[in-house]
Amino acid sequence: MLEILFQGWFQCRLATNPDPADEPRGVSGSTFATPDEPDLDRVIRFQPEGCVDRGCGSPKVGVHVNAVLNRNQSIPDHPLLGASVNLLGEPVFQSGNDVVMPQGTQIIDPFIVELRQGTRFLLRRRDQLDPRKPDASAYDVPTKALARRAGRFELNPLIIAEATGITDAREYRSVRLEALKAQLRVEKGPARKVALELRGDRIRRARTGMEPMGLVEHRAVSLNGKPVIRDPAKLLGGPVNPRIHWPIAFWMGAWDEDALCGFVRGRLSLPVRLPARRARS
Amino acid sequence: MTAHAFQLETRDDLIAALARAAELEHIACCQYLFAAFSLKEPAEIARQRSLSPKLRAERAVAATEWKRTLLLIARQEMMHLGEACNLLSALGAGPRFLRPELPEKESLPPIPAPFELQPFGKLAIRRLKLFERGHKRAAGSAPSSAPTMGDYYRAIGRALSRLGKHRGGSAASIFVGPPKAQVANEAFGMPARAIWYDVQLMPVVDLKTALRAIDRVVTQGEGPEDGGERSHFELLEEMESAVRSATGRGNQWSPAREVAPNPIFRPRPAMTGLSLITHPASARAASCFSIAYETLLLMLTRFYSRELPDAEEMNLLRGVAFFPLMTSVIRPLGELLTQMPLSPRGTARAGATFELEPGFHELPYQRSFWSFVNERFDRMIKEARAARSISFSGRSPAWLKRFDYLIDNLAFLARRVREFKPGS
Repeated sequence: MLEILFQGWFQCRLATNPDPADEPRGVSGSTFATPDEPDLDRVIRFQPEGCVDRGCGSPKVGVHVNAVLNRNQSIPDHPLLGASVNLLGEPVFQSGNDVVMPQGTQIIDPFIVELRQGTRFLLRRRDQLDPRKPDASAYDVPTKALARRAGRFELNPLIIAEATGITDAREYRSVRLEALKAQLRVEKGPARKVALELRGDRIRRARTGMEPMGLVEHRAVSLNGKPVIRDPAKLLGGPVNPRIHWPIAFWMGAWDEDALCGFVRGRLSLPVRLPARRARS
Repeated sequence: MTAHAFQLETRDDLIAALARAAELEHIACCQYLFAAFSLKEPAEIARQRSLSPKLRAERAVAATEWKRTLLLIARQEMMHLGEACNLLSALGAGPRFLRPELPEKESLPPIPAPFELQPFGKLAIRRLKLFERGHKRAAGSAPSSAPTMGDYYRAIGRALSRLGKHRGGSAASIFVGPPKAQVANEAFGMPARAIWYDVQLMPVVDLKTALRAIDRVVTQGEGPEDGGERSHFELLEEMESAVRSATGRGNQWSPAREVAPNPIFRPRPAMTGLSLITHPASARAASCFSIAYETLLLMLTRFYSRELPDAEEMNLLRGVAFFPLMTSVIRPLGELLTQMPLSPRGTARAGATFELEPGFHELPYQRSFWSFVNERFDRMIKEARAARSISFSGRSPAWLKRFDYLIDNLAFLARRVREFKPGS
């Protein structure tokens, strides 16, 4: 069994309650598109493609493999270190203002995980809500079928501090505000200036009672779809069993509502049959 | 302060006064939503290529900010409606989610002001200010002696105190309603003191909590005596001033779409001041909106009558009425209607009709209630699909995407409602 550990910042340009989930600009919630940006699209992006980098110290998006374990022992030179981890199919947090799921339990839909190491390695597997209808979305299956993918929230600033180094959300916001002010002083584009002023204004007015940076959403799914495995260079070190489900568990948190980014950390368990020598290392 | 002699002598007088207060809060909420839905989106403002990029960006931000403020006040008006219903329940009466038909061109006693659905603009703001004003705060105009909502609520508060004394020395004796019927933060899993999305729902169980509720409604509307948090009236004054300077002389632009006032899709015997939606796509979408709005009112009525023991039913009512129907159906459909034509010819747009079906009635029996709700969801889906199937000029891919999402959400909600088996 190989344990693939991954982490990094993701972006999700989504409208938040009490706006409708498909609100294109963000009006009443804590998130919004500035006038020079495209509409909000709700897509969870683990990699920079399609992201809108707001600069001024916003996190750099990118989720990668940061450790590979065998029987809880780290393999320091494993070739999958640094591989990109991605969610495919334009996934969204599917709650739809409680239409689909109650707030706090929202599912990610679709849920297709991909690991890629350049052209040398590709692994992809989908979680199916209904194995008889592999492509069924949350809207196509009985409501009870959604529970297996539900998230669970907790307030846990410690886990976030350990993973990201962010120990004080107010300080984090102050640093961002200063960066916005500094950028405003040198910014020449008039529309960009308006956008920077808007961001600064929203940060100053943000309520801090419910601290979004300290919230963590836990998820655990057993990937049950048909896997795609391309490993010509044998980076896994052995064959992976495609017939049994692959558990993946992760948390998402440290929500930066100015940058529309959050941090994700998790592990994917792969039933790889390793040769004896690799297993001992 | 001007004293107004509202005749509130009996419990029945009080119930009638609170029912009227609920109706006025309800109408105000519809007015705010109607105006908010009519505001243009940044992409529409950006199409005005004759403007500089800076001006386009500033106008986009201003329009969004005005919409944000109007929606915030609408949520608080909804909360005031909830407080009036809690007060009614506390006195032993049922909640009041019915209301007089709109528009009312002259006045709705006790407020001597017209009530109608107007798109965002100077007229809409002026009308809303008339509803929110207090005596001290009518800035820029001579103090008015006409009764205000504050006067009305204060008279209700005085009558509550007085009536309690007349009935055996304790106001508690008039609070005979079931405490379980009170809808407060706890019904949504929120701490009692939490303010969520600018709203805090508090129970009314005795004179102290009743007067607290009344004080808060008055303060949020016309403002506290000693300053503090900005009232609805002050927010409207700021908005009026900003609109004046942004759209004044030499600066011609309209932040709102060309939405017809008081749109309806069912012809009435007297059509003065009404805008009949005649484009078939818009009429079907307006019909869907109207059914959704009525269904919301039915569900709220049942939720606010919740001495009922069925926890599963209460969860479903809360889980369907509040976020899904309000946020995922009423608001997007209300916004989409302002992008649809009023008639096959002309440039005017339709709007959120907030029409109630003639003979609209509350439903007291559980099994038939859910049969009605199921039927209404089926009708909403049918009307929405019909509206989607009819083309109209200016129908954009973005409109279609939002409308398709709306239909998906309606279908999902219909399924959730169907899964509930009353009394099982």
